[in-house]
Amino acid sequence: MKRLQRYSLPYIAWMTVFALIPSLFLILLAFSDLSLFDLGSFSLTLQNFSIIGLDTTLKAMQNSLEFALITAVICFLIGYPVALYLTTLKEKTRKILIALLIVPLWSNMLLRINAWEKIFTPSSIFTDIFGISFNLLGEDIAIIIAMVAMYLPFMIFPIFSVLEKLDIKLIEAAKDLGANDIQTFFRVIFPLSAGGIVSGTIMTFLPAMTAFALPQRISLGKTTFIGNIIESKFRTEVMDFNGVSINQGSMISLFLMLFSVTAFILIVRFDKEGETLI
Amino acid sequence: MKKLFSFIAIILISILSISCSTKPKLYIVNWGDYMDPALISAFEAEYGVDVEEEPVDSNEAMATRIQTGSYDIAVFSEYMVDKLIDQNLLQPINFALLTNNSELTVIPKLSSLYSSSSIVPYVIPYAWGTIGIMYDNDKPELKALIETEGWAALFEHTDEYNVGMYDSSRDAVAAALLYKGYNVNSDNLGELAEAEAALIAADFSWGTDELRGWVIEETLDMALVYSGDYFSEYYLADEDSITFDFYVPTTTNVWLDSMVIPQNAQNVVLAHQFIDFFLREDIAIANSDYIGYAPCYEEIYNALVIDYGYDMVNFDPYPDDTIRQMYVYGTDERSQRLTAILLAAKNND
Amino acid sequence: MKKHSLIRTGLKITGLLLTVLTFMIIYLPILIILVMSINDSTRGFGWEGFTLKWYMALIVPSAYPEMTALPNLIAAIIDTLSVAVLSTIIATILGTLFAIGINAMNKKRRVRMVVMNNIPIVNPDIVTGISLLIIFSLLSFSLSFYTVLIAHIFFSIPYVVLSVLPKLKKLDPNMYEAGLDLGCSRASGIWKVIIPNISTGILAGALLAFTMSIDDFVITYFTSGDEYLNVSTWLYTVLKHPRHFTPAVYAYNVIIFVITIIIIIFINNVRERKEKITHEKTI
Repeated sequence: MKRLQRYSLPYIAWMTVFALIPSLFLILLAFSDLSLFDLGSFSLTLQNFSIIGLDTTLKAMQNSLEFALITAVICFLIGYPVALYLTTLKEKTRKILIALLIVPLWSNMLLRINAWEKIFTPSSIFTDIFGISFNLLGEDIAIIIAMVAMYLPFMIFPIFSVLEKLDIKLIEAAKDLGANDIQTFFRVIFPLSAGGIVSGTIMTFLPAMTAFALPQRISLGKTTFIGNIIESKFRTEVMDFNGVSINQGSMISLFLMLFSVTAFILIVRFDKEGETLI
Repeated sequence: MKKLFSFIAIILISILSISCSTKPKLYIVNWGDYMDPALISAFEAEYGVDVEEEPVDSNEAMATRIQTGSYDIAVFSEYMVDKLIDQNLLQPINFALLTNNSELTVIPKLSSLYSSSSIVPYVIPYAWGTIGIMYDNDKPELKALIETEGWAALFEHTDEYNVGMYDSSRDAVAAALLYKGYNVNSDNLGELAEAEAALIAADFSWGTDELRGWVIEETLDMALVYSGDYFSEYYLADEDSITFDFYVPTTTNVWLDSMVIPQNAQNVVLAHQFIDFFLREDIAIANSDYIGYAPCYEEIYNALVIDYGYDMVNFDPYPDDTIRQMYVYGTDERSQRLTAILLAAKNND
Repeated sequence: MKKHSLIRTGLKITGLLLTVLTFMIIYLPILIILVMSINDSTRGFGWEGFTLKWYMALIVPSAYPEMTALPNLIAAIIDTLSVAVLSTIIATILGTLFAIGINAMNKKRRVRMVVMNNIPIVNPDIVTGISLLIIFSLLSFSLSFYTVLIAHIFFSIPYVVLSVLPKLKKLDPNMYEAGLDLGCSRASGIWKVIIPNISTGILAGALLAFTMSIDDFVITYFTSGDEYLNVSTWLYTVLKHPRHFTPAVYAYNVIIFVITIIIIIFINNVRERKEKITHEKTI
């Protein structure tokens, strides 16, 4: 069996090429004037750092963090009770409901965003079906509703999977020791589901913070997220022959990576084997 | 398992065998749906060639294409032609290779807008139009407002109405300059500062091609829209239920899209034959009718208006008693100033 | 006691209501997509009557002039499915082998490998996309079908590994050794002893990889050049430039959706039957 270990060696090489090297290079790009498309001599510089101080960037960071935080909190407030409720159901119903939670994820994300545009538009197919008319496109609330709808399942799954595995004996022991339902919940169930909560929060917060298509579409371009700036730096401005846009974009991406590294450390602490990730 | 392998094999083969025909090939980079496919097929049949058309959605994207790849024909707007000539990326049209060009006359008013420009030897005008205000015509008071105030309607009423602005630095700043009564090509720092202040003060929604859809769906009450975009909605809409209209202020900008031949084109002669084909009167009429934008030649324009009954208001981009301007590329510094203004405007709502 | 049961009922009702709300908000867009796929309106501004023409347009695109428009939806669908099929096959093979290797390690090294494996899962797509864009530029791969394929293999492998590992853990390590003792070569030991016992994990991983691939937007967006569009990047373009839009994309989505559900139900049935059989055997 031990001999089989060698099958994982290429994986280390693979990850080095596609994850480690580009990350190191991203740092180099962020702190130098090296041109990605014309590798050659370069000098280290802190000049790209100035992009972080621009009003545009600061505002976008603020938007990303605020909306992601609100989304994650709402997802938690809805998702935890739902996960808990699901565990109280009969096994068959529970399985079906979990499956039904996964099913919508097989619809293309952009098409679902497009559907939300239709819902929030005053005169659209949604109005024709339900006879209700919203005029919410461009409003903050529309972004939040769409984000919650998009990411809520990712909060429910990990919490549900830890709750489902909770040892009933522990709960019964707590009750035998005289704890009431509320005490049992806050002293036993809730702390034991911390791993799921951490995964769920990360799986909703990070995608919400880095989203760019959803805010762009739902806010009618009024609300800029950090992802929109990165998109512009790596895709649009490159076409405008702007030489340093990649370096500036790398600098902003480094900022995002701070969050993913933090998230990563948390996940490693709470869920070493990644069991709550799928 | 066998089935699985044959399935993979089929996919691999289909990937590798991206048509290996021996016919000469003409590569065109163009805005999507901006040339009648039936006429392209007719050209292919007549000349025994294959035409490969690739779509892009902005002048900038098209510019990147002709730098990174080799294309025989591209269709650029005037300001980008201006810039590409500077960068030596286009070759002059060899008018001796065109037989139909002399049969046609560029509409004098249009030609007066660019005849003194350096772009003339490089372009075959393709279509032209204006920028204006597309609005929801369910609201009579809005119509009155737009018709009395013109550009000011777009800038001064973003509290009462949902207003869309074009998410492109050149167009947004041009609209603000027009509103302030300046030339669209102004590089006067004071005038640009006024334009920036006007854009910042207003609370716009930002989009490009999607603006017109938002007006139709009543998400927006009005928006800055290219006449071409308005027309394509107008032609698609059910005539009884058109809920939108288009207003072109007295002073506005004119865009001119032209066919050009990139410097590194491989099939220069064939490219000229293609251009000549689309200058043939019957073909040009059919193509203009297909795309629905105003043609640049008097003969074609008259045929559409007289024989095809095109008489809608706004179809003529340059009626009498109006003032028209046209973009020039300007300097790189100015382009960067425009980009900065757009960013500031989008971020200060 | 009475107070407690009241709280319990209250909590239960809150749970129920929130569950109903959850299903409402995640199914509302699906309903809209379904209705749009049978709506006889090209621009989709409102309900204009029932039609099946968008489904027909996918089956016989040549009969519908709007389907030849550029950028082309049919080409995007073919590109999406080709990348999904190829990346799923490659990622499933590689991911299974990697998982077998990881499983053979001692606990400490195994945890380290799993942590490494999870990097792409936790990393936001936009960071993964940029990283891949950078490495492709460094290797001077021009962005194309092939860079997208590599990117999809890259983000799919971790999911396969995570799906296969738990099944491997349950496997008795002596079985493989026994297989070798009985004269299997190492490779055929894997093929004949390990693979059949972890096939449900492999299948689950493959399915996950496939669904991730056909729906991916962000990573494809950053790793594809202008020439390659999958359905998501096609949509992103045509939503901005609606004259290229066709509601056939709604129909495509519904078809993929239904096929995925059928596959899942089928696999679940097979699995249940299998579990039943093994259960009976152990009895």
